[in-house]
Amino acid sequence: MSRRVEMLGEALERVADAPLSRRQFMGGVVGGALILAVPFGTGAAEAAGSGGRIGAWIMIGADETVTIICPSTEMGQGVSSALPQIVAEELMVDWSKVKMQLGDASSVFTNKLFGSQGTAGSTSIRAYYEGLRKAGAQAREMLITAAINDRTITGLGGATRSQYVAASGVVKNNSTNKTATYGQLAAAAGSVSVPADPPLLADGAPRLIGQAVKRLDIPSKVDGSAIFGIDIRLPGMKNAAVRLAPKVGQTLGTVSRAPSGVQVVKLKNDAGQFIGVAAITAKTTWDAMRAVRGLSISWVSGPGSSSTDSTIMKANAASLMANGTALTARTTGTAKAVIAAAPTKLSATYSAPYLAHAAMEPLNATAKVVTGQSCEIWAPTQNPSGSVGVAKNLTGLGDSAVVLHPTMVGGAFGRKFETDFVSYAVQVAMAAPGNPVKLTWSREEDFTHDLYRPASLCSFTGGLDSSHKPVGITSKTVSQSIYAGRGWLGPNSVDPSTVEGLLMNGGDEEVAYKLGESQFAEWVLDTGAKVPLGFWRSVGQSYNVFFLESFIDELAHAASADPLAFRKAMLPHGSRDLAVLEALETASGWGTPASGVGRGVAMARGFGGTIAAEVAEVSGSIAGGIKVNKVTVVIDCGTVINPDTVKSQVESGVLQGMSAAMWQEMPFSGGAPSVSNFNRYPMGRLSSSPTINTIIMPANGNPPSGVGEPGLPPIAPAIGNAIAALTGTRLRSLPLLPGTGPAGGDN
Amino acid sequence: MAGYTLNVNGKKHAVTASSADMPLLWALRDILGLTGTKYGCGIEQCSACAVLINGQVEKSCDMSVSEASRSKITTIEGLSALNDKLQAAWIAEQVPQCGYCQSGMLMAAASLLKQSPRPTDAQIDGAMRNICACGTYPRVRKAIKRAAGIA
Repeated sequence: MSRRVEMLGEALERVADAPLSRRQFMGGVVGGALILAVPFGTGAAEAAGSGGRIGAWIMIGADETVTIICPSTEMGQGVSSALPQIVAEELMVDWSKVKMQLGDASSVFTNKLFGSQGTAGSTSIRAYYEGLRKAGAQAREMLITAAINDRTITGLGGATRSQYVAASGVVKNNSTNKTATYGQLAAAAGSVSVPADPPLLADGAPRLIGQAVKRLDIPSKVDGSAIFGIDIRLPGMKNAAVRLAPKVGQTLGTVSRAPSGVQVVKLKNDAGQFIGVAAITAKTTWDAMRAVRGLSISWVSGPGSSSTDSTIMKANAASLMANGTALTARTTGTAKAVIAAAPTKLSATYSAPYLAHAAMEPLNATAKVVTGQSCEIWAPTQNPSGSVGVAKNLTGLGDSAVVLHPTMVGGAFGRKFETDFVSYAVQVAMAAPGNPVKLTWSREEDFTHDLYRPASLCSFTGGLDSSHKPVGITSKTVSQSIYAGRGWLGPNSVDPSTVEGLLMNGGDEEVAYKLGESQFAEWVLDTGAKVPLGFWRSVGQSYNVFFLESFIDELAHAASADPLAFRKAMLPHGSRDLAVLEALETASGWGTPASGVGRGVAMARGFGGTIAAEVAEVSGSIAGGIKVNKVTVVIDCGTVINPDTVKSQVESGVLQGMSAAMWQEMPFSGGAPSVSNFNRYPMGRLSSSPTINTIIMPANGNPPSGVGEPGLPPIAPAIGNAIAALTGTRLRSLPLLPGTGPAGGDN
Repeated sequence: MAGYTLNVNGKKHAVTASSADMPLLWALRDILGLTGTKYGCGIEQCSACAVLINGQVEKSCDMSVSEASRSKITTIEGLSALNDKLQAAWIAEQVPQCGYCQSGMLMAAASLLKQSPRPTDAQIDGAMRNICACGTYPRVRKAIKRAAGIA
């Protein structure tokens, strides 16, 4: 990071802390550059009901570079380029001049879909799109106004506004052909008022949005210079390592005396229970890890410390499926009656395991606390607002005394939306006041103290009429609840995440199958299992789409129908869902089967209305090994900012989803997770990766919808359906091939 | 405490490690500040920590600083001096997502191309054992071929 940008960063902190009233414009010259803090999208912010503002920081330097602050977390999804791309289009600057800086925690960066600053649920583009377009347009109009007013730099001033155009970072007076660059105008632009309703690009104008521009974060990720949370190094920094209770529900008993040069800190959870320790050293992270491992610790058992065992939990879930009290999640039509009356009936039970997030960057955070004065945090977090919140609670400091600096995030997949790792770092820093302390989790601590994707058990019934058309479907799910574990679930309420992806025909978040017109879905809360739960990429869809799309395939098989034609017949004419499936039929060569290859199809809809459908091609055998050779994906995510980033995210969803579908599970034994490192958690390798062909549907004027997650849910059923087509064997439990891993893998 | 001289990216550095069995990974990251080399698993599974030892890819999480002191070490920070095509190919193919595993990927690719300047798909499969959770593998394959001048 250049000295200039560092200075701007410091100035930004000050500006960010200053109160910013609605429609107030703040500008100033710092280090020869203009900082435009443009409040925008006030209508949207009001609609979000948060009372906050959505803001974009745009800094234009005398060297013509335009630095755009990204309010979202960059964890691989390319958002730190996509959001600046939206601003740059309306600002009329060339992409080569655009630089990106990650934004600190600030209320001006509120994600209106959450009402706080956080990156999850494939929401960033949806949340910031309109506001960032407006911000870019506002800044551009202010630069034009500065040109009109200017009589000293270039003689541009005077004449009427319609004579001025902005393009490629230059304002031009069309009648005199005189020009001024943004860099020349930036300082003066700071003193003009913010236009409330700046014009947006005219229809048909060439657009930067939709272009596959190169991502801004990638150069730093190929030369080792990108700074992830784990890479933070500060003057006087100490290193610390964590060791948490090995079994679910355990709390800390006694801890042996710390060796010389090591400080031991007891760590507490949000409920105030001591659940682990950290060791702080002035030496390296490795020394800290060794020190914390060397401590003798006794632990006290609590809820789940013995019952958290896969054998016990599976038996309990099966018992609840038979006898548990069910809540109705959805009832439309008379599903049970029509199935009872149907000439062909089908039933099947599916299951999915607990999963770890297994991001490549282990959990970590760095904090510096000056007692009673300040708390500064550097963390690879998806959740800046939540992180600031826990720091305030722990330190008793106010908003303005807690500063959170985001870092690059080395994978997250939902795990880094949690704040436990930030809390522990702040607790450690409070015990070493005045010193920055970096707290790093070993891979073993990361795996064994995850907040796991919940396991789920799901039984279906379905019926076909005499012409083999599907007439109704019921589902009954038994699972723990992420919401209940956090106290978010009211009495007799269904945790919506437990059934998302199972339900049909309910708008943007549900596939448009007409079968949903006769659907009954119910859910049994598994109160016996005590596994700590969290949000795993695509959450409930990650397993429910497997359940539903596998069972749909079974219905198609029972109807002696082609599985893709069977699905098309369930989709409304003219629907985007049908158009996606038709495009997939063509792109995958569905009509021309290859020998020795099984094909499976699956689709899903969600994340603000994105439709993704996939065909997987597999070969081999269940006993001898299954190889996924090729995956074809069609995605309709509305307006596309960067098509190459969309493809990248689809590839990511397919490959992460494939590892989970085929091989991964987190078993528990005797109260503890059984897997603590990658040697027993199979991850796909380059050699196991299929060819992936992604087709993006035209936007047809539809607004942008989510991209980070939708590629993942369809891959598990597409593979399972392909295996059934190839082998005749229907695999109903994830992982499909337990106890195996990628061919040639080290695990 | 033990003193060693590490030859990293063509420069010699005096390193004081708390013990002779400190892995090279942590000496690079926490003593020399070369944080491009990543900690991923600590048990030679993921290759996020891959560096070149005398031109050959090795996992630095399980090589002691004392053993490493006898060799020429190249980290991601020194890659461009060794191979000026790989990083450009990585950018052209827009390979990284989160980027955490990419230093190790690039070092493995550099080692592969040194041994097999025009690698086959099977050679790429065999050499690139790195774990990437984001799923950059298809683009890694393309970028290696681009860097090797294979269309």
